[in-house]
Amino acid sequence: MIKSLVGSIFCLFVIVAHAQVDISGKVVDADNAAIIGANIIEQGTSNGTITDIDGNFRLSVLSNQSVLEIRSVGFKVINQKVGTQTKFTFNMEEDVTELGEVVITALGFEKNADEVGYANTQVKSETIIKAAEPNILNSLSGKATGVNIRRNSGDPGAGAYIQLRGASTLGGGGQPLIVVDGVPISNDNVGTSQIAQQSRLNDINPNDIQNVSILKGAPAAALWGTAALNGAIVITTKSGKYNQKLKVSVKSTYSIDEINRRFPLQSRFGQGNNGVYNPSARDSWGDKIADRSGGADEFDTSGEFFVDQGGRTYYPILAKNSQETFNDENFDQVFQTGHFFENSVSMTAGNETGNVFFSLSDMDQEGIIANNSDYRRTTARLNIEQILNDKITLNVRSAYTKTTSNRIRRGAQSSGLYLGLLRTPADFESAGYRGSYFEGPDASPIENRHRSYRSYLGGSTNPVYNHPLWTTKEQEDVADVDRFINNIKLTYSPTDWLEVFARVGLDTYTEERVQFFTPGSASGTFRTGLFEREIRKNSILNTDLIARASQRIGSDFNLSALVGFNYNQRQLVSSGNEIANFIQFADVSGRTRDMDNALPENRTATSVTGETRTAAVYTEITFDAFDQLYVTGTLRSEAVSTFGSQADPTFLFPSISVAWQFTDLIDAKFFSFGKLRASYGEVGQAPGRYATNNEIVQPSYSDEWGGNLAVGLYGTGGFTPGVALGNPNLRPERKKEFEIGTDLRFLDNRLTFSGTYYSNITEDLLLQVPIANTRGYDRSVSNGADIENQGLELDFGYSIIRKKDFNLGVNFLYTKNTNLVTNLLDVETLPLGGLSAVNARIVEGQQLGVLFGSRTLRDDAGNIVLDRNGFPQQDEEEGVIGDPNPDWRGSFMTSLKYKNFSLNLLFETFQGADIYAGTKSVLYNLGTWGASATETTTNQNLLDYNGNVIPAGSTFRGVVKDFGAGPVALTEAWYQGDGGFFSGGNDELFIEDGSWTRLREISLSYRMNGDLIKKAGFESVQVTATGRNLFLWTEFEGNDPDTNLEGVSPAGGIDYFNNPSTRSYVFSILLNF
Amino acid sequence: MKLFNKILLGSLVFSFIACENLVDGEGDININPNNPTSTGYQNILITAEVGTMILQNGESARRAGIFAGTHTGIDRQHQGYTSYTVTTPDFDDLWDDVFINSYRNAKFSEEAAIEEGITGVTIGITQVLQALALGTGTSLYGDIPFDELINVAFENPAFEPQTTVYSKVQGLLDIAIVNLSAGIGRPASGADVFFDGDPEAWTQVAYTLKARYHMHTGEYDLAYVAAQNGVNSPENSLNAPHSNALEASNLNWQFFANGSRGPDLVVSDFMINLVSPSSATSRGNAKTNETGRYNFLFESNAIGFQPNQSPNGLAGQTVSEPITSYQENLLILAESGYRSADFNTGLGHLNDFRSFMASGGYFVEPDLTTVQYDDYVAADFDNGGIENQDGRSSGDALLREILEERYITLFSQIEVFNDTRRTENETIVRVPISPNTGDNLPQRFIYAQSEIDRNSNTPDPLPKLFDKTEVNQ
Repeated sequence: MIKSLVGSIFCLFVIVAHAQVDISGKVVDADNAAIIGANIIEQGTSNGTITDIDGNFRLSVLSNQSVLEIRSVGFKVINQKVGTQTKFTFNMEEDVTELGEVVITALGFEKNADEVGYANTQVKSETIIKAAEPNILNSLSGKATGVNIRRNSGDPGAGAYIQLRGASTLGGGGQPLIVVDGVPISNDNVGTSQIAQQSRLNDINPNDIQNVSILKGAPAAALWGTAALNGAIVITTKSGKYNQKLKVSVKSTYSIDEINRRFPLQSRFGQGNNGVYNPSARDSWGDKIADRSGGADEFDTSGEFFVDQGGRTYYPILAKNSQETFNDENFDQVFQTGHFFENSVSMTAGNETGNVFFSLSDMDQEGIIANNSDYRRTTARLNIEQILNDKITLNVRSAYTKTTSNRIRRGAQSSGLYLGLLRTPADFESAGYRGSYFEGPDASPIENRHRSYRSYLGGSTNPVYNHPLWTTKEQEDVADVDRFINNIKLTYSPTDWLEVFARVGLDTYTEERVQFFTPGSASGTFRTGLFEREIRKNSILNTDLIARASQRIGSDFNLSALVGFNYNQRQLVSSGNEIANFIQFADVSGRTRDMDNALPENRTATSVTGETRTAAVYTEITFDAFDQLYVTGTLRSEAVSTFGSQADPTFLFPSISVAWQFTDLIDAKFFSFGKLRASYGEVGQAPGRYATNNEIVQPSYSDEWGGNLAVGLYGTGGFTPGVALGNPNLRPERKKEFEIGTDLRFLDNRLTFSGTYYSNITEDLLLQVPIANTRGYDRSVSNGADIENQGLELDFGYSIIRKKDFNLGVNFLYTKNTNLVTNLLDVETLPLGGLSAVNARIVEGQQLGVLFGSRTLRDDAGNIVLDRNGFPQQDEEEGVIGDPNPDWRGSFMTSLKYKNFSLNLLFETFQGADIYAGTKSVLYNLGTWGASATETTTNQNLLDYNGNVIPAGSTFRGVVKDFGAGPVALTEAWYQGDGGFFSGGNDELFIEDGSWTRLREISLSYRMNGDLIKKAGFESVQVTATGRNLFLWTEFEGNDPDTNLEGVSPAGGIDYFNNPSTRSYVFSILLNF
Repeated sequence: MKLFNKILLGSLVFSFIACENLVDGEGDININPNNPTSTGYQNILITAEVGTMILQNGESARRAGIFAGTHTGIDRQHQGYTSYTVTTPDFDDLWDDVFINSYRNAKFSEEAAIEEGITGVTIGITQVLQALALGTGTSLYGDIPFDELINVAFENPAFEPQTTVYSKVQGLLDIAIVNLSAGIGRPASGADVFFDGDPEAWTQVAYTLKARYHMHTGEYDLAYVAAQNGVNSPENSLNAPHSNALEASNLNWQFFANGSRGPDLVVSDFMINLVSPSSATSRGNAKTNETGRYNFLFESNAIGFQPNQSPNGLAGQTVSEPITSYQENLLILAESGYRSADFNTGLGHLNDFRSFMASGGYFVEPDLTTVQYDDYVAADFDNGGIENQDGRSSGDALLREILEERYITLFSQIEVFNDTRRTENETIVRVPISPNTGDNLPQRFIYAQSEIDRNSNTPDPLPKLFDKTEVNQ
């Protein structure tokens, strides 16, 4: 008998009529509602049927010894011997273990999880929705082993960096391929990390997702060849069901978001240095505020002054008498309680020949930053399947997303939010941020000056650092995205054993970005005003032609095969215009956005297009033996337009995986299932566009720490060969991965264990190899570097209580990955990103992304070398000072269901990772850090960093520390020198433990489906309260250590004035009709 | 099964053939459509000239100023440079300015011109630019590559001794002068932003550069000879032109007035006190009023004393910045004239300079009532004269005045640092700068990390900041 290998609900089973027992029955859920489309299969045969619209079925089985297997997605499998019974009612229990029985493969096919030879993780719809996150990426946090999701900040719409099984490639990217309904889509993160950039994956409405299949290893993802070096995430969106009446769900969610960590700031000492108040100082090492006389400050009202936006007048301060401090006011004027409100409706219906899923949603978020920080996503989706005749089925999936977002600048820039805010002295009165400066009592106003604590009278056009209110009110960065993801699949099944289909997908988005800066911002780039509009259009066209067939050989063997052809075309068009140095004053609050508002020489236009094409042919062959052994081999042959002309035109990517079910070998009652699996696969990564040829460019040369000279503005305009040397030999990177694992179930499947060990090496890595400038170029891309990963993934689950009305289950996940850069082509180090002081680098013999910076001098024995005052000396050479990669990660989940209540908790932990406390380092330097206000009375003579003696019995601002040569005093001198950030601070001193454990989610929900609800016209009503990120245990101070200066990037582990993270209280109500 | 096999086989065959053709788009899909693949010499020439401005008037000049005591860093990186804490990566960008932005572009422009069959003036101009880049490079870094530069055959260009480089730079300038005199091959109009191809101006610049580098190597007689043919009018000064466009603005303006690093750097107290008419150590005297120059050079603002950023100041947005100037040539004549000939030769040239200054000099729209530079006479340098209050020999007093004049005139140019190192051992006449920290003055720029990493011929052990270069030993 021949059958199609993978059953789906519209598959037509051939029922062979030599049955001896006729049975019938009904399949219902816990609420006694009919389950439509449940599969009833006679075990060991292909005999089976599905339930109809009322949940009823009829089936003829071989004998009363036959065992029935009842399956339905989202429910636990029931096995029932026929026996003497002929009429059955099956009450299906919801599957609370969240371990899918069906996995989705690389090409989007369903496959029985127990027959798969590689590690796979499925994250189901309910799990995603339970997370109550506004976007899909964050909702995957802690849900699967081998998946590392590193957040960006708590900004609305902020993307996240996702990495599977450690870093497999150097440089940027490194994120997995995203496939939706069988078609690759863009997960772009475009733009500077000085704004929280988005992840385009988050354009998908999380409520539309049926299943997320995470293909972590090369064996699982090999069919995607050069697209899948970093693994793949295969997303399946929801479908309607055949033979199902109209079901409508309406859901509303409201979230209250708060800042979850605050930096400790001191309010005991004023602006100034060496204990002396100075209103123009950068630092807060001034006088002790409590020692001031109190009362009003004395002003010089005879000369210059400033009048702010509210009419308040500021004069030069002659004597600072006031003891007032403003830390809380300064904070509260830029932060608020954020919120989002999400409303969605979905409808499904189906008959014998077709089904429909339709949804609409709107998510409107206001960030915790009080102005210009928001995100709104509106989506619509229509998924239709129609059986045209008994051979042809058409499936169309179409989604539209619109997002608009406004972002606040952050990080290492003087126009960023926290940089200006946290450096502000406690005694600086910061209500006024914009206004008019008067040079004298009779002077004319100089309007629209920026007042900041570094320029408290607005006397200069340079405020040095932004006033926080200027950052939130006078700087705008809007992104507006329109996105369509469409795919059409036509299936032709000429015979029972063969299926041919064509699938065409088009993912296209257009993003418009508008940046507008009121003249006066601290960064030189924006100082004279800046307006930029950029429009990008990105599209991915993907076509697959696939034929698959299956053949049973005798009673013990089955062979199935698939061949496919894939064509993928990625195109980018972007064009932008920018003006600086406004002719006529214009600010953010005005409507004017006029490109003519600058002289022609201060307008710049950019225009970029790009295209990459991939073509491949692939095959997959699966062989099953004795229902025990499952062997799958795949092979993809691929050509990509970015390969060099001197390289081979096509490359092969093979994989093989073996699963062996040994359940029958162990005859023990407690043992339910056992599988061993082993697999090997190769995937790749194609070179980036346009690296194979030399280019001619029109440079704008930058003057280090200063400005730029644009060649195009001189003479008749210039061009010159670029500094990157083209390489015609470029070929793809190649990752080779081996993994071995087991899946075990005990005690009637109540106890589950899954473990995987993997080891991979990426060879031929593409590297920007620097070239000595004296050769005439800066760099060239070359193949040849190597990187390795090894890891262990353990997944343990236990259903402690499994009763009809009472379920309690726990899950533990453990992930350990060790990464090693084994060969870097003699390049000493390569920067990945970060600050100029401390940055993430690639260093041979280290894990990727180690932190590099200045460090303490050590002798040959490794002891710290101290100076004559007893303070550590600094090494002249920079080096590796920390590793932001965790030793291990884990999560603990528990779910409790009692009658209509359910309670879920997710704890997540991240252990053994370093973080550079850059913000702290600067705030110590400047004297605003809370602990920098500590005063100590010494009972012995102490030396400070400059070698001055602090006599016994005196009280000084600072602390006592012993670096090994006896106690010394850490005072202003220390923090302004090696103990701080600026003027050559020793960065190693601020490498801290960035480990954390958090209660990522807690949710309590109650489902009402009683008569009252039914009478009111509902099928059920569910209310849920969720807390996200409510508790965080970490030694790191000031910010959530799950933050990233570099945004969506492999360069992590640096906190430097990044925008804060949030915790949330989320309430939702779901109405089912 | 037959159909199955046919589809399998058919698809495989079809696809293997098709894949390559589908992706290569007749071989040009992967050629970047956003950039051209070839360009002409005249375009590269402009790029070389803009690169030259960055090298001569940008961060290299500011850092040289810090090491020469004219500038003081008060915050962030510049504060570190001021305390002489530098690391090799601090020089990556500056090294790039020498060898890529300046030298290589000039060399590529020459090669492109030769390929297009152009001879004469254009070739000469590109050679002067090459000599300027490498002369600057060797003065700052000491030994640098020369013969093996920018040649694919050499993966690790060999470094040559500083004196060898200087003599090869002189040779290159000699060839350039010959090419400039060819009478043919002027570059396309608009391609030379300095002189629009005027061979006369370029020839004068080449001679002044010859004179400058002979000064570096202490060959004062040769310097004096070369400077005779050097820049002979303000119009023939090699000045970087600037405009109102933000990215074509004066680099000092971009740094001090418009950049976020402006507050990090100020003019040193030493420099201010030297020029300020109100300071006790002011160089003003009965024949000299420095008010006009002081107002042109400096301003006092919330940060401290900085280069004057107003429209007619040194750091005014559209104000040109000197690279190889008439005033430098006058002062080379004065110093080398004194050193290689006699007192009166030196004094005569100094007075030439002073009368140029008295007419407004290199200031922008000067107020002549604030400017006074009367001729000095020999007696002014005699013991007790207005330029010799401390009993020096009249020769020393004259030389001291010339060196001090150079120190101020060349303010914000790399040459100041070349002077302070060259004259460091002449304790009586040198400009008396002292180290910001420790006992030593910096002697060079240290090699860039980018070169150390990728060129195995980089000198080892690496010379340190305080190690003198060959010509100053």
